[in-house]
Amino acid sequence: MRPRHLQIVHLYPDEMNIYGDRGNIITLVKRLEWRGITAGVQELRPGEDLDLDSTDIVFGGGGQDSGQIVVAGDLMTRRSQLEEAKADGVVMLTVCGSYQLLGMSYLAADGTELPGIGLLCVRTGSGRGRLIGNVEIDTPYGRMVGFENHGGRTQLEPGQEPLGRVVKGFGNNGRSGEEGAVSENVFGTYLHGPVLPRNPRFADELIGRALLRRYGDADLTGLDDSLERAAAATAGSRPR
Amino acid sequence: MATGAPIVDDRGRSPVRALRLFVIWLGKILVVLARLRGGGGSALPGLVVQRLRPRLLGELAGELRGGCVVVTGTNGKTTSVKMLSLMLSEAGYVVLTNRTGSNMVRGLLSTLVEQATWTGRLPFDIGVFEVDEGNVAPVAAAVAPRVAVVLNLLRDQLDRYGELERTAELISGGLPAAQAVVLNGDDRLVAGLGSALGGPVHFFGASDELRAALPDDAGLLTGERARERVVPQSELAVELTRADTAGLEQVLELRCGSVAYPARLPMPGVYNAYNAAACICAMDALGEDVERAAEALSGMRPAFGRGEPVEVDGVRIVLQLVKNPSGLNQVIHTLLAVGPPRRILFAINDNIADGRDVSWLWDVDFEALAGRGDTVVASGIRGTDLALRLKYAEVPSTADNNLAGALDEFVKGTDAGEVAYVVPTYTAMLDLRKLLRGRAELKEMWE
Repeated sequence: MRPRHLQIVHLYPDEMNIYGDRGNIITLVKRLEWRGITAGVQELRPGEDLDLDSTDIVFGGGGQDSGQIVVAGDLMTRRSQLEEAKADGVVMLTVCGSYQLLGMSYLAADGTELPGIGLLCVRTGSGRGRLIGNVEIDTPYGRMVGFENHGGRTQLEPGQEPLGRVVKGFGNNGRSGEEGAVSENVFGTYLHGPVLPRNPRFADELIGRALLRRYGDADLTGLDDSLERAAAATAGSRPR
Repeated sequence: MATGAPIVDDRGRSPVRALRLFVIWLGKILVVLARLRGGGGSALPGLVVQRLRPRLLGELAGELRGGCVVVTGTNGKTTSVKMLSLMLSEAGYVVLTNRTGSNMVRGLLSTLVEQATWTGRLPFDIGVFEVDEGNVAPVAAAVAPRVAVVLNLLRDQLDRYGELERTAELISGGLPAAQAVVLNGDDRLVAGLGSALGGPVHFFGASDELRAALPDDAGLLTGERARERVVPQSELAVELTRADTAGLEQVLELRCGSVAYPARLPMPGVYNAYNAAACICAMDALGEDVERAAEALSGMRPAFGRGEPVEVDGVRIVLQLVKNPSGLNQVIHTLLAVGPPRRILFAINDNIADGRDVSWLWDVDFEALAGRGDTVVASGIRGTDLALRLKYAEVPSTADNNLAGALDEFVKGTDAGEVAYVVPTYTAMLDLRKLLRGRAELKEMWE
């Protein structure tokens, strides 16, 4: 088999990396390497050049308010570029703050509503208190576990598909029973943990989609995921 | 009251009123009952007395002639309180302190009630209290501290307060109630707390060389990244200019104004040297003799679970509490200075006091342990999560969430001459204490 390589872009690692979200990058890279597929990671900082033609997977994590303000403006300047990438099938995983920025609008720290880049048809408003705790959701990629911690309440627009249904925890807003959003190869979720290590099927779904797009087949060697499953089972057994 | 009764006592205090005394007695009885039920510090007596007499915290703190100092920050509170109380004891004060488990309003109140006499007095000169970041405002409002010390703000238990900026806001709400404030001048968020204050602000910091080795939140993942000064060197009241480690000891030099004071600190870790700078700065703010305070550091001993070896079944184990990624990164770097192969047992719990979110494990540089042939055991409620993190760092480990069994195996596998490291989160450390009872000589937690 010819050597395969995937290129990953980590959006704003300085501003948008809280709750160990860089673990998602580590997981993608290792699960590729363990299968003999090389991986490159570009850390994108505000103002830097982004070459999306060579990019297979884009990842953005959660941030504190200060971080979100800095990157929101920068992300807006890349709006059309990211829209094209979405149409071109680039795989994107966005968590928490990045998920909100990918929506149609979100509430800034000072309470003003600002436009997002609209790759996902979701709107994020505010609510009383933060939604914090262990969360479990049912998705097409199996049951997923994570930890959520967000002040924003996200609503899906009509027709927007969620990532999964809440089994335990709050999800997008604590009421709709929906968690996250998916549109083509673009994923948004509130699951930290980080999300990928304990949900290897979902991690492989992202990798598979990226390989299919780049190489025309999503052929993945199986890995021993017993530790991943054990950790997910422990997480699932913890109180909300 | 009879007309002949004195209105003030020989220290100029008016008698404690009956109602206050009743509440103190009730609290003291509840403390005793809580003790009998087992368990150390309990917030229940504090809760009850707070309900009955909301102003009791302020009233009891007012008993301290020398006032009090509150110490907050995400890392190093317990150690710093110990250092400061040692310095003040050396300066001739009878010092009252609280314990880690009692650093919120109710816990502190429980401590004060317990330490009060049956006549409602607090027989101490000065209080040094560690205060949880989220409780600084209510505590400071009640006790009006002479000095408030903010050590640092590193990622810690974010699921409780949401975000570091929010934590900074919570702390800043309490600072105006303090007569003077001691702030970490090298920590962006902490130093920023000084800008809105009317009263005196004393900054402590470290030399450029040492700052590179210190944890800060922004540099957490990159470690090496050079940081620009937040507060200019000339504005630092106390600057840590030297911290040379030799084994479990280090030789410090602390510049205060134009004078450099040498100090010997029998604890490893640059972060402990930094805590020493914070305490010297606090002593300076209190108007105490800084030279004598620096000398007092030589009497420091690590607190329980903070790097002191204990003898268990004939083998030496070093217990090192960790609470967050910066703390664990520091521990890993300290371990790397010890020759391989090392034996390390990590015990990771996710109870409320540990922080329920274990995502932080992925912010720790476990990759530094890869390929070194260490024996690593992952235990605690979230032992498998740690084993998974280690797997992705390519560090082989065995996972056993049952701490009792894991500890037994671990101790059994340690040779008499070897030193084994046990690295627990807070409630895992409490579990370990129970497991080690009767097998090792344990100091009290707050010693």
